[in-house]
Amino acid sequence: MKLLLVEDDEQTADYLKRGLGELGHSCDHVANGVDGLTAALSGGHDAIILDRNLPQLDGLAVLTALRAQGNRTPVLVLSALSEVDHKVEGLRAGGDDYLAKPFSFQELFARLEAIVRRRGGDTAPRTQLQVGSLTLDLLGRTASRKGRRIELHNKEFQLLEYLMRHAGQVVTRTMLTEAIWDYSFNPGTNVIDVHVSRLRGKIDAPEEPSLISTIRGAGYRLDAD
Amino acid sequence: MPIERSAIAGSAALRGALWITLIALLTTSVALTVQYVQTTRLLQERTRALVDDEAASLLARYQAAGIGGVAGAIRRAESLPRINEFFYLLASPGGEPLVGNLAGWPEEIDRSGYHSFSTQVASTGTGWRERSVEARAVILPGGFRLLVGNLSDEQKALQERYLSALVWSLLATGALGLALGFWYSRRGLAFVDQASSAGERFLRGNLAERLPVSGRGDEYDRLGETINRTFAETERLVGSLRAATEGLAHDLKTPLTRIRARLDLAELQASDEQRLRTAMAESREDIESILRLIADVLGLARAEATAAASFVPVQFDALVAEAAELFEPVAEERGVRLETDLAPVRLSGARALLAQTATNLIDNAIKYTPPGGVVRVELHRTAEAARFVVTDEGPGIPEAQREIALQRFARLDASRSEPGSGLGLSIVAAAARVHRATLRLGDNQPGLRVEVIFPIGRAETLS
Repeated sequence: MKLLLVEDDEQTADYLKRGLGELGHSCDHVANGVDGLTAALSGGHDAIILDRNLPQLDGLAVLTALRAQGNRTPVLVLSALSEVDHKVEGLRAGGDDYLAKPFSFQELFARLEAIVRRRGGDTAPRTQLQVGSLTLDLLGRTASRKGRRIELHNKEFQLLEYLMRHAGQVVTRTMLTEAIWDYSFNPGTNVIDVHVSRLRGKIDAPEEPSLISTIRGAGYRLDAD
Repeated sequence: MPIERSAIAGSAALRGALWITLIALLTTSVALTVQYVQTTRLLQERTRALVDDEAASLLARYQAAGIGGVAGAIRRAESLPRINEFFYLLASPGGEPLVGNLAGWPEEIDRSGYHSFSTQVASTGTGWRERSVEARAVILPGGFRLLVGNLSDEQKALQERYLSALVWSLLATGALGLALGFWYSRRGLAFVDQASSAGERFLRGNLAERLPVSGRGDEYDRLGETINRTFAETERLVGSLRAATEGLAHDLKTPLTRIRARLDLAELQASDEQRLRTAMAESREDIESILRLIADVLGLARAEATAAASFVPVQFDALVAEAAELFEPVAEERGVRLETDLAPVRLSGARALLAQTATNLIDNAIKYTPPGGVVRVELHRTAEAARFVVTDEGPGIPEAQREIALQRFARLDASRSEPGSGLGLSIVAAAARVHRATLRLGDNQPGLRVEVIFPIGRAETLS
């Protein structure tokens, strides 16, 4: 991926550039809002990482101006203000996702991948999701693997749907709490782990390989078998 | 720059005294002047009435007997001793005195009407004396002039008395006003003085400082109580901040020390890749716990700063049901039964905070309940309140420690080894405060019973 990083804090910028570089992604970096808007409008980036508090031109202003110009590049907004309403502001201004500092690199990368995929993927409404041998019927609200029907509760269904929509990508616990439970806080030590392991127990028959793998220090990933 | 305190109080007292004195002086002057004007008018009217009577009888003589009759009457009156001594003068049209006990027609009287003048009067023993006279002049037909007057010394005496009385009264009022005014102002300002000294000692760090309250329930008492409440709240906040800082420092220090030790060790064993990986993985876990702690601290700060203005209607029972559902697998894994009994309740509140209240309490309850135990989550509804109750069958909290348990970073010794930042209950307490709810920790026999009682307004009662 070719990324644009608009961040005035040198340390955060260095750390992100190094991390993204090691994963094989190139990263342009500018340190203020005006340069950020210019670079973003010149195009050619797969995604933009945009800090909210920037010198010269505030991050939200950059985002608003960018969207007003018709530029649809996916934007991940970063902020030190971990307020829920700030998040809403960020998304309303045209951001695709919002991440509060301090964050882990895995969290940032998982979200970055998710917004780039979402933009690239077909937007036509689908009635069925398929990952390897796993099928999810969105209309009938049922799941099956190799013809075996899997009974799922409402939240389990939503969890599986989210993992399947992000198949092949790392999904963090925070992303899951936000998407499935709509909680802006960490609800408890290992709640999400328990839910995922329960889901795993339902979709994997004893002899079948596990589709959901735990990525240490990051989250989960669902892959085709 | 701080101003000398006694100087402020002194000058304010002096200003107060000066104002009081000024008001007293004005009042005294006005009162005395009114009195003087009334009295002189009364005296003048009385003298004029006497003079009028006398003049009227002389005019009657003129009507009956002409100028000769008047002259006769005057001569007769002069010769009779009377209580009221009158002055008479009948003069020719040119002003030449004809009859009367005045030496000459006074120059200042040039037309008929009432006049005041002074003249030399012979009195027994002391010779000639200047006396005041109130007189009425009448021009008779033919140009003859008639003047009838009476002594009006009282008015002059009164004027002198008035002036001296005024001077003395004003002097006395001024002196008394200044003294009493200063004393009175000082009395009121003594409280201000006391309050500002107490405030300064408070600022210098004596947070236990309080103002004395007399118990009279007056304005000073009300102000004193407000200041005392402010002091007490500040003391509480400073205390809780200090405890929080110490708690946070302690909780950060432990994993950070572990990370450093591990890094030191890894450096020594740098050739062993397996050991390096283990050190990294373990350090990452510690860092995760630090980040969780920081997220909780931020969450608590956010909870405390939540404004009632951001409240929205929340279907609280649905929120609690969702939280219970979230923890259902956790309870099951631990061998704990999670029971719910939820009455429909609609609240005006902050959704995220209410959800966090539910998850924190349920999370704690499951964590402390031994396998085989029961966690109950209940929501009851009365006319004025909604009661959210979570009970566990864990060790509970002894009554003496319940207050401490609500403070930040309080992890009671028995539970020090449990995971978690120790901020869970603090966030619940903050959420309760923001929603004007009452948080109660009680005994579940065995276990802990946590109750959050939300007051319900009229608006919610209708829905």
